[in-house]
Amino acid sequence: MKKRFLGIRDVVTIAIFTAAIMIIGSALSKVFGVLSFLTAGGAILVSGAIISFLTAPLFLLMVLKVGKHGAIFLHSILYGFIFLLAGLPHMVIFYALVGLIGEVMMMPRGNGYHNVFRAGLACSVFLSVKALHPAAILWIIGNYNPQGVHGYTAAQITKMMDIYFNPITVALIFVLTFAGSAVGSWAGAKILRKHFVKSGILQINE
Amino acid sequence: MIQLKNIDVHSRQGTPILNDFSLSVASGELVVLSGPSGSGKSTIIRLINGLAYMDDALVIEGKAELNGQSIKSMNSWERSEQVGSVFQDPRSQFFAPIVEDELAFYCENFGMKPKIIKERIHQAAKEQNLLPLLDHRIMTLSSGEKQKVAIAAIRVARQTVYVLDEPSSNLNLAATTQLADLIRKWKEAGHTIVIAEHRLHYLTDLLDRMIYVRNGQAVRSYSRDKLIILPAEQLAASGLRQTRLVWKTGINRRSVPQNIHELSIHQLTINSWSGGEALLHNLTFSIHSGEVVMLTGSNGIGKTSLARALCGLSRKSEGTVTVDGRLALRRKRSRQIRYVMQEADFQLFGQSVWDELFVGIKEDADQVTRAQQLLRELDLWSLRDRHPSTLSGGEKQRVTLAAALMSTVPVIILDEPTSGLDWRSLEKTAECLKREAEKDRIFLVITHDYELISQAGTRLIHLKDRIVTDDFPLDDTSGARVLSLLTQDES
Amino acid sequence: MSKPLILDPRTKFSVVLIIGFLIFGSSVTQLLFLFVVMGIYGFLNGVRKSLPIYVLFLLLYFLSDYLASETRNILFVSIAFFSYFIVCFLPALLAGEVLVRTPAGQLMSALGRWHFPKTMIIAFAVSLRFIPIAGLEIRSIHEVMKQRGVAFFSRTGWLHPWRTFEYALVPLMIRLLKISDELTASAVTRGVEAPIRRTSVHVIKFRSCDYVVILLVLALAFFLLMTR
Repeated sequence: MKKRFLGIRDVVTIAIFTAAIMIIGSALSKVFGVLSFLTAGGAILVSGAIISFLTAPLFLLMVLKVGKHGAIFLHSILYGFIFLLAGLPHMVIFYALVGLIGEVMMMPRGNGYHNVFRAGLACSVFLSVKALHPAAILWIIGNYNPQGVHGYTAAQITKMMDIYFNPITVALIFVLTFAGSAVGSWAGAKILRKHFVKSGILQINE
Repeated sequence: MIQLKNIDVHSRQGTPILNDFSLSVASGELVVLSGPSGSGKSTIIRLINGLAYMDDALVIEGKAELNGQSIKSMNSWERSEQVGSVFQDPRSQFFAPIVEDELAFYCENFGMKPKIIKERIHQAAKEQNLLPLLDHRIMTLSSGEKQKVAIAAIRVARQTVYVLDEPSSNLNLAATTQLADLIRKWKEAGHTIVIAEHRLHYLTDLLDRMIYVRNGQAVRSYSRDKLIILPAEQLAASGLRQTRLVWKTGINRRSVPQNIHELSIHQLTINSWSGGEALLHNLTFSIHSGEVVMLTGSNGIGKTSLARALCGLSRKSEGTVTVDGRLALRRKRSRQIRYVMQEADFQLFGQSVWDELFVGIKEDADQVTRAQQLLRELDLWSLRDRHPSTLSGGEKQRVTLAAALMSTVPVIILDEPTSGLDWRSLEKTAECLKREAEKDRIFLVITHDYELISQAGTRLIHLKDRIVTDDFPLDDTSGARVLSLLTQDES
Repeated sequence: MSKPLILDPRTKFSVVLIIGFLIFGSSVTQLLFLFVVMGIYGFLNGVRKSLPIYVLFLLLYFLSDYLASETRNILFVSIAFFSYFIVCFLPALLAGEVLVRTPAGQLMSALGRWHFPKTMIIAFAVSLRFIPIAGLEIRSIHEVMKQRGVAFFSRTGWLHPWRTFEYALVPLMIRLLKISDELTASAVTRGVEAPIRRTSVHVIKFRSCDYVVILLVLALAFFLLMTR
């Protein structure tokens, strides 16, 4: 039987997949960051969805390959740690929470880590909560930081905050990202079956 | 000493890997395992260093002992104190960005004091002539230097048993010679050494025994004296590479210039990646179809950069490239010049070998016949339904070659196509290159594999000091000249 | 120019932690003040070439803020809105850049001192080391796709987006799995599983300048919190 705790092989696998997911995510966020300047923030709505769509298959493979509790949490902590190195220590707290949510998704009946559907679901929830982080941070700053040097922009910023961070927009981001990652997981599962399960590299339960 | 007794290994799906395999290696002995790809050599190595026991996909039966202790029952760190392992591809073995930190990895894991770590690093680095490189970034080193770092990183442990899995695959001739010197030193120091290797020439004078492994069994055992007198034909028939580098004579290298296609390079300058001085300066040469041109030169001289510039992947070049007399624009060049990279994993997209050949190609009757023919020529026919990722390194390399040959591009550039190949595959590849070249293709092969040059080359272009220093047709008498060029390369 | 300061990585971690949380709830004036302090900190620690970029962002914000209130144009408001958030993070990013420039070996040494579990340290080391390599791997795959006429921005790419998606992902996945395997093998045969606390070849030590930096940053934090 498999050992219950993460072994060195699992840790290395998680670390490597985390780095790859990070690279794809940050490259795309740069593109969407520039776009959001130009579209007055419109790109923020879809950026999470697209990034999640593209990274979901990698995430799914990582989770299924490791197949043990703690994989999502470690991935999440690593992600947060890299943000910490970039100067954003609060992300560690945020990602620890997200990681816990992901782990809880895998909890019941213990076999979630080999079940494609469960893993896909956890992956979608994890990625869509994760995608809220820019919104969450902007929200804190927008609400607690006294803004602007000119009164006019301060008022405008408050106005824009209302547009971007009312519950509907946040819910919309969440739903879009969830849809994006769900489609990504579905597509990922298809690829995994076609390429990895058949050739015996990966064992999964349907 | 190492004792393997009646070992049976098969995968969870039931594919046999080792079959009643027994081997005993006395302390101080140097044993080389050789044989065709997929014969189970790597698994033997992984049994000795214990990695096989950590692989959930393998079922292992039989007794494996190291100095009288069962390898299976040892902890992985206890094994690492006794057995040092050198792997094929040093690129993906590193944990630290800096050489010194990499060498410290082992000692750090065992909680040694910084002062002792420094001592051990110094000693291991000295043995490998790495002292001036200790503060360098590993990514900037050549493959030869990376292999040295990988070896020094295990040497800090001062083990007495060493296992090496195709250690020369990514090395040029000069680096291979240095590796041979190192192994000799280890042997003189009384270490026990087991090497799985296709290239035999650098080990012939060192080894005590060569075990011929085939289909998971030790078929025959040769002592050094017996191996040396083994005729070339018998080696070739067993699928073994040369024990002495011998130039192949009596074959027709005079390519019949058909002039169907012509690749011309005029005043091509390749600028370096980081700016600064150009890597290659004002290259001018032309190649006709029918030729298999071997491109040689030291690591980092710019062979790969040249290939990338030629096929239009890199913008760092000035000068003109013409194919069939017409100027080939950078963006359109990929339709005329195809570059097959050394690393095969990047280049495999399909869900089976068969599928792989039809990536980006229509599956019509002509192409199906062509695919069947290529697979047979390259000895891949029996593997056609396998997933590319389950193949061995040498098999993957041949699949990427077959995929490139499926397209109609007139020029194909190959980067080290034979690094992991056994003799049979090397011969098949060489034949395939010659046959395709005679039809209408131009081949430019980046290599430092003497055996491949000897089997397939019709012309050699040697790069040194930013220019072409040698450009000559190969014939029955070129052997010595080629060898001297290859040995002059820096590691 | 003078040599960069040599600080203990633990000091740099602390600075990142303090500044990272201090930026929340700061007014623009306080942020500017923080920015200047962090600018000096960064300069002393060898962050020199990228400093102008940070200043540029600051200027962009003030310019767009000014233009927005003068012209009331929605484009400037939008730019001001987003550049404001970037400006909020500039001090933290500066502190982060100082930390990131620390050699990985020293970072791991600091984590070891803080009694992080061995597996975590290995995981951090592998991630950090692999981030630049992952970029190269992805680029190589794209190059091969271009060669075989199945790249994203080719005719096939547009016609068969699903196939292109697969062609991009499969080699990447195979590669990642293979690298994981090889790296694991390399780690295991070098005693990574030994149940002994990890040490480091890098000796890290608090020096007087570390105490000075930490004291100054704490004083700064105290002062800024008091003036809120």
